[in-house]
Amino acid sequence: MLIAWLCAITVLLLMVSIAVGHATLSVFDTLLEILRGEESVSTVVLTQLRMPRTLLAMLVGASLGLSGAAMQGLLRNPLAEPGIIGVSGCAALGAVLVFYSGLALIVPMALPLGGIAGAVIAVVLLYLLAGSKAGTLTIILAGVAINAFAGALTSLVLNLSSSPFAFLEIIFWQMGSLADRSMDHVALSSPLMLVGWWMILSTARGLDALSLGEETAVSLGVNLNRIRLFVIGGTALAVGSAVAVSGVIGFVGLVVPHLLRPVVGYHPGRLLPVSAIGGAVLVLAADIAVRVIPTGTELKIGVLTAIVGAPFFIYLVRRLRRELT
Amino acid sequence: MLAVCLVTGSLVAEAAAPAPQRVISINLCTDELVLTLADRNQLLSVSHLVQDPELSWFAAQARNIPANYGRAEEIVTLQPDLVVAGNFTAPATIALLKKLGIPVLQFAMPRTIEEVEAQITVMARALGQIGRGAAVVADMQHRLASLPSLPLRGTPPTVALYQPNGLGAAEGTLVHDVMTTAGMRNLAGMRSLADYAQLPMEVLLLDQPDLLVMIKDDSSAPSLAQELLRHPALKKAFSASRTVMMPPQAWSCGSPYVVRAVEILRDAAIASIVTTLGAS
Repeated sequence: MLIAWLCAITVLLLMVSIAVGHATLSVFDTLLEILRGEESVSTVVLTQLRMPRTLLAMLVGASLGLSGAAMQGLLRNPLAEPGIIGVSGCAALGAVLVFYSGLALIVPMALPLGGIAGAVIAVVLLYLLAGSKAGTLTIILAGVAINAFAGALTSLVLNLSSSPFAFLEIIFWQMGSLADRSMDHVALSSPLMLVGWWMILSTARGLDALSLGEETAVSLGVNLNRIRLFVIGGTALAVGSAVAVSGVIGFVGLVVPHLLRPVVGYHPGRLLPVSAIGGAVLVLAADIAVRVIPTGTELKIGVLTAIVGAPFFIYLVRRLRRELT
Repeated sequence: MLAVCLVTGSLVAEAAAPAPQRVISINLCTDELVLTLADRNQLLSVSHLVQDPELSWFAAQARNIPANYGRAEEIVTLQPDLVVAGNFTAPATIALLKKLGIPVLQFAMPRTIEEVEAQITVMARALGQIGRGAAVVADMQHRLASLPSLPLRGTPPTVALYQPNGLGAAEGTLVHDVMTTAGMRNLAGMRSLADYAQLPMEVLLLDQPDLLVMIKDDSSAPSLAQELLRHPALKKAFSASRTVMMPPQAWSCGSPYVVRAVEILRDAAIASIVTTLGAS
């Protein structure tokens, strides 16, 4: 039922996203033109500008929502989120290195792979810094350190680039945007994202068992190493390739699972698919909002998600403190 | 009168005073003006930017002149008797130089070709090169007067500039004046955008200007700003024959080379009108 509702909202937002843009055009007539196989400026706007950004909003949102839910389940830590623990930041660094060195111009696939490599390094670092039995706070602090370091290195790389535009583009990588992305970006990132989704979704039953504690999970026949590998690998694939084409869009993986967790009866496994759709809804809505809010130059998506997400994060921290004392 | 308006800051040197012999320029655009007008031995230093051939056609001329990075320390130790800068060049540095009693002459971004000519005259006077300034301006006016004329029939083609990051150029920019002088109608100007505002790609595509002006870029350093110009939608909507590649050095500053930009666009305008007439 919940999934049906979320899907309905997604479809609705999808249509709005196609209809809303900086230029006014008759969507209905243009769709008819596309169906008749004609090509005009309007069809180019629809298929080459609005379509890729709508698809990417859904793909990126789903990746972030899904990864957030999976990491929270695996680490049994309500604050775990790709952005907060530095996975997104390192993915951005990886993508930035590949893009501004010119490698992505020669081998386009290097862009998502760079993001994924960055994400993998972040997760490995996190485990090394915090250890596998780390408490809530340790993981977050290790994440903060990784995030700060990745942010500084990203800034350094952009400053060293000989392109006069590069240093201003730090805002894209740190706040994220889907403006004027193309179908090429969809084609580059979506296969790897889908593999990541499959890996994460396959851990649903294991995560459910894990919520009863590691010993119980093992006694239930859950292969803990496989779960860890699949959540981490899947997150790296999904978040790494998402960040490589959209920059860092923060807090989606934090807010969405938390809002939906009570609705699925606190089952980490059932939370996975709904968080994916929820993430798609949130990023789609935010991407529509940045086009509608008249700010001249378009707002970055991450600005909106942070405005919603940061107070939410503070609320969670306060609640955690109450629970701990 | 216009010339006087364009100059701000304290100019100690009067027309009768001896010409400055230790001139430093700390801004790309003033670099181009002093390189046009000053004697080589009047120049102590120009900014490092003008030595980059991707930024300026004066690079070869500037190669053997010591470069500066616009820092107060390096300027003061050179003991200049005139520093020229842009209106928005490092305000803190400029304030410090003025405090130390160094004459500073600042120039605004010119918004029209007429203002470019006025600035050349002002700079020439400041450098004690009035005759050379007059000759440069006369040459510019001569070349503008002898542009190939537009076909009598046909309407002026519409045009839009699309720069990295999707920036257009509206009324009140030198680009707009160059387009108008070349006999085109600037679409961004008609959309009443301000100066160099961002032109959404959707709007650009649906407006369908006859010609799209893009900045020719020879550098290989990748950026998202440049990647935007390779967007498949842009390639689908504008064929190569409707795209004019403008060398940025021609109009990024108000140097005499701005006439070259007008010439390039006039040729493109004529070609566009001829094609439209041929098709109809």
